[in-house]
Amino acid sequence: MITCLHCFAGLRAGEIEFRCVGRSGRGVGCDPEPDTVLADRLGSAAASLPPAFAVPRPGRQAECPRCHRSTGRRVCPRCHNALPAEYCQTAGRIIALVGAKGSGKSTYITVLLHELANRVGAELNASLVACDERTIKRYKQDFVRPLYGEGLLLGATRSAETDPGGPLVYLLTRTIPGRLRKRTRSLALVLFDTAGEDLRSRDRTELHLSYLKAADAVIFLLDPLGLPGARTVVSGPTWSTGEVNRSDPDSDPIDVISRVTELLHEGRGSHRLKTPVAVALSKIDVLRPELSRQSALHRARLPAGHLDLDDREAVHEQVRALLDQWQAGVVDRYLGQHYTDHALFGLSALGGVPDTRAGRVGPGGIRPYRVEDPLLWLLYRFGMLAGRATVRR
Amino acid sequence: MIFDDERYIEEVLEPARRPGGALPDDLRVRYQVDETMSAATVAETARRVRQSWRLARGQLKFKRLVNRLEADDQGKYREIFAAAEGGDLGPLHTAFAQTTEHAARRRADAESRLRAAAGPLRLVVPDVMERIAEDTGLGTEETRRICETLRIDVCEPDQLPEVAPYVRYSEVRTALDTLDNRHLAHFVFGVTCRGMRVLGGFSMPGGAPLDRDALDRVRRKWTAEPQGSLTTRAETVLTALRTVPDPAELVRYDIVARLRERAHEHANDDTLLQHATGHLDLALDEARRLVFAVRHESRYKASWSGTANRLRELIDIGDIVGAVDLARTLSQAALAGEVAELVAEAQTRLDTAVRLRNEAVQDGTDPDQAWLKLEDALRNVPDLPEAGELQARLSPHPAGRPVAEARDGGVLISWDRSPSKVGEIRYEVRRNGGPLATVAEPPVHDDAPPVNVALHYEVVARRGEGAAPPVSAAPIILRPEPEEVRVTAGDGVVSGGWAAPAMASRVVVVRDGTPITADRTGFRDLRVVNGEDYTYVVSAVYLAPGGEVVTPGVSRTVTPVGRPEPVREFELRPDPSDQGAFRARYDEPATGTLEIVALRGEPPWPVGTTISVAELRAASRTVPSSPERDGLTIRPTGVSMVLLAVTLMGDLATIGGHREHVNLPSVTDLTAERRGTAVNVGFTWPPETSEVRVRWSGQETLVSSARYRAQGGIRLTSPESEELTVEVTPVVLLRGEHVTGPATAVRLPALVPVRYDVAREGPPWRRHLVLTLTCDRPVRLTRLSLVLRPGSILPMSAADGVTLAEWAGLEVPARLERPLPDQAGPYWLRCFADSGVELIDPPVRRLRTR
Repeated sequence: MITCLHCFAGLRAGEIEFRCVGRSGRGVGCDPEPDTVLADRLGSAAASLPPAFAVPRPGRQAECPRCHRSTGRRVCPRCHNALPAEYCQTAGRIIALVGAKGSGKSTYITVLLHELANRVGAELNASLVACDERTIKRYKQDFVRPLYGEGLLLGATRSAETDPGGPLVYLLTRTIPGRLRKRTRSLALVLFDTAGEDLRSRDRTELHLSYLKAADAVIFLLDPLGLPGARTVVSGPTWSTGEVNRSDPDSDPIDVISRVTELLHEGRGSHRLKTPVAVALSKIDVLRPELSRQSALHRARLPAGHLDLDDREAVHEQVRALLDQWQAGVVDRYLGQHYTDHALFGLSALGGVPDTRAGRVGPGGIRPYRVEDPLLWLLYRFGMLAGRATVRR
Repeated sequence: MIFDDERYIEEVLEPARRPGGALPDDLRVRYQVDETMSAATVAETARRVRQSWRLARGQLKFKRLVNRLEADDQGKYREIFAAAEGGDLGPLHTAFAQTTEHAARRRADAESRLRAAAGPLRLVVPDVMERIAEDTGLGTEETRRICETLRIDVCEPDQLPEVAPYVRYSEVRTALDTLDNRHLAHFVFGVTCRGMRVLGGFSMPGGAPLDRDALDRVRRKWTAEPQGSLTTRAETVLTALRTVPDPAELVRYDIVARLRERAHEHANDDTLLQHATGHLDLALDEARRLVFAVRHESRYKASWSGTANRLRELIDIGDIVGAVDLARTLSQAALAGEVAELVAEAQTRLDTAVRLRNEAVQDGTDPDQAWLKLEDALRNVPDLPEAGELQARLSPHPAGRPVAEARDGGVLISWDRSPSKVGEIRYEVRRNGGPLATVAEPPVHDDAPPVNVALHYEVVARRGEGAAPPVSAAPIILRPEPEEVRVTAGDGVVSGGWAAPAMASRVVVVRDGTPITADRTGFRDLRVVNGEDYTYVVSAVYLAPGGEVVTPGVSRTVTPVGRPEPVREFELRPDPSDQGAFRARYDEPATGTLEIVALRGEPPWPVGTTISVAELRAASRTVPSSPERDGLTIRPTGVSMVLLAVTLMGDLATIGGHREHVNLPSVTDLTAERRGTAVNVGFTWPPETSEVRVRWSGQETLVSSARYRAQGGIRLTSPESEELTVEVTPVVLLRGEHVTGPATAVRLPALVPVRYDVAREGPPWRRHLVLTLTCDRPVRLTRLSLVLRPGSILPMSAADGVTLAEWAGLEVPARLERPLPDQAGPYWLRCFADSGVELIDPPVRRLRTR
């Protein structure tokens, strides 16, 4: 069973359809014809494409019943959008990223993918490959070029209603050493940058419902400066990062978590949800000077190639205590009541306070801190990463 | 019949010249002959007639007629009279008979055309009659007689009212329709008004006048009627008749308006006449006149409005004289309304303009005043004869006396402007009588005047065609000095060069009053002593009628000096107190002053070469510098360059040693943060730098900008207990070698990490807590607290829970024991120490009790 990356419909392997490769040059092949299914999905004029067709037992290739040309282009039978071959062959995991407006979701995705492709990828002996052209183009154009190329802060994520950008789909492949031989395990990583306002119950779309219900894990990104107790311990120019959202009703972290939880509860009864939930305090660098030297958040995770369970637990308890200290303990209690498995994190995608007035990253560039922690925990939960206790030195 | 010239002119030529007149075709009239005359008499009379034509040709007014008469005489009548001269009158008599038949045909034609033009109205306008007379050749009088015979009246149409005398006439029409009255007179008089007349006042058979009594009678009649809509309508009509000054005008307008409406329906004259006599109760002749007037209304409207339009057009385009001329051709009757106003305006403007023109040309009038008067006159009447020419010829006051002076290789001529302030004054500048330039403002620069000749400059103020008397500047002779004069001092020698003026015969050089041998392009003076100042004056010599003339000359002062000594080596070190500055150290040269200049590459001169300072400046870039007690502080800009030491003395520069200099900017915003044993280093990447070298704890590594970005800064590993200094140096690869810039360092003090663990030991009935503290080196804790916090939340400080135990002056490593607290789970235990040490928690499972 896989989930379509575009309409998030659950698909059995036998349901996957193929699209004819069409005519090339003077050779044989089907002529393009209007694809009304795809047009309905995109809400635009019907594009002319070679026809889609179903086959009894889908494999890697299928033969077009009209022109008898072989094709490997898989499409979703519901929406006729293309499905990456790697995604169809690998048990995909969809990770939903949700956060209030201004919590730094786009920045987090950009830096996380960059770290997975570089430093963390090297640590985990993993490769990260985009699954389709749209992902490559969108990541480079909308995320990497402005942030890493030009040092510009990313603007607020446009609502999916006005800009249905779709998810970023990557294939994360790890080489895991075994006793006798190495083996590789892959994970399709589907990240959907969801704007906070998309989750209001009255506005939420079918797309969001499908996406969240299809999610195998959820990362909640919370701006600590959106918590009243945290604001009191911060002063000076750092205020400006969270100040913008004070009057925005969509920016309350508790409300965002509860909205998503309500969505996930729909059709699943009232029992606790089994979806792993990672709740990360973003922009932790703003609060770092206020944390005691003894805090686990002061100590970097050692790049050991596995999840340090002691460190994980220490950070979780530290963040939990911080939430309680900031009169936001309800977050942890609510998560405990509605989810069987949740973990708390503190991270900083940029590693320093940006120059929000100039719209640029701070001096020293992008120096992420603990940005990979939630994903490592989820990989551990999915069985793709080992977890070990700290070896005391 | 005796031929009489005057009578011929009066009876034949004069009527033919008049409008509508025509030359008689009857040879009896044209040649004053008849059937009774003999051939000789005919020939003689014809000769006299031709003589009379020749005399009449002298009068311009008959010229055209005489030409035509002579043409006919030489053409179609030639043979007739040639035969008569030969004694044969036959052709003449035949012509007489044909003339009579022709005249009868023309008369019949005229009658036919007049009947058609008059139609059932039996009326024609005079110009139609005249046109028929001209076309048929009958003449006006004859045609008029034919009209009388045909009972056709020739008259101008009556002028009809265009505007209703009562504003609300339309309501009157509506009321009359409601009352079923055919017209206003019918309302007043009923059927008794049949055969009435409205032109030239109201009248009707029976003689009842349209006066107040008649209106009162009508009022009384309607007053007797019961009040209703009809009485209201009648009151409307009566009110209109009483309101207007003359009710007859309103009645006439009512009739005319109804007739116009019918005429617009394209009714023919018969129908209109029938309507006018039958429906409108007009007398027949009155009806004819009215219909005739209505039919010809457009003729008058067009005529009058056309005159006004033409007048307005002439006035608008400024042809006032033309407008006045047109007015003179108009009849008195036409001078009414708008036409009269326009004529008056044109006449007034013309009178004013003429008066101004006359005043302007009076003797003694100031030319500027006269110019203004003519300007006013032309503003009133742009086509005023002679005014424009008079104004154009008015010369302004002359300009002030000019001054000519040599300037920038030419002559600058300046002068005071003419006192005249009116009109466009321009100044014509002449050189030696020839035109040089015409400008609106002084001064004028004569860029290429002839050299070594007397120059006479004159300035003439002009306004249009008028020119003021020329004013002259004092004569000037231009003798340019030598150009590009350069005098260079060397070691015991001074040399000079210049560009000699083309017209100069030679160039002379004087050093402090002593003539120096020089050729046409330069000199070389060896009779100088180093260290002394010498002033050279370079002058041009021109030939003049009275002998040679020497210009004042160009002066240059130089000091010959010994050759500057080269500085073969110098040392460069960054100035620690001033970012971007470097201190240059070298051995002071015995002669000259050291300067460091920047070059793009290797210097083109060998060490020890002495060149001119000008050559050095052209090939190098000055490096900002300030002298120090033991050298120079320089501030080179740019990343890579060659620094060259040159020794300067006077105009000479001796090339010294050089060194390649890389001016890499240092990194900025360098930060290093301890995160446990990891150290995160960040900085703003220096521009134009591909790599940095990072040094810490005796290690070093090269980090590229790509690696810095991919790794999210630089991550080092260093024990917390050791002090750490991180030094970052920009590096570039030049010609295969790493060249470094200034290093920037940041220091992290050593921390004292103290680890602790909490264990529960002992048998169940005597459980106790064991606190173990370890450290890499012995350390003394000022204070240590063991805190218990009930619940599931980790204590963040000692204040978050209950202090179970507290130790002061504790030596680490240590093992401490305490009884297990009597506290039901869940609860947390955690240690807190005073600042100065880095207390490291054990795994949380060791601290938490569920």
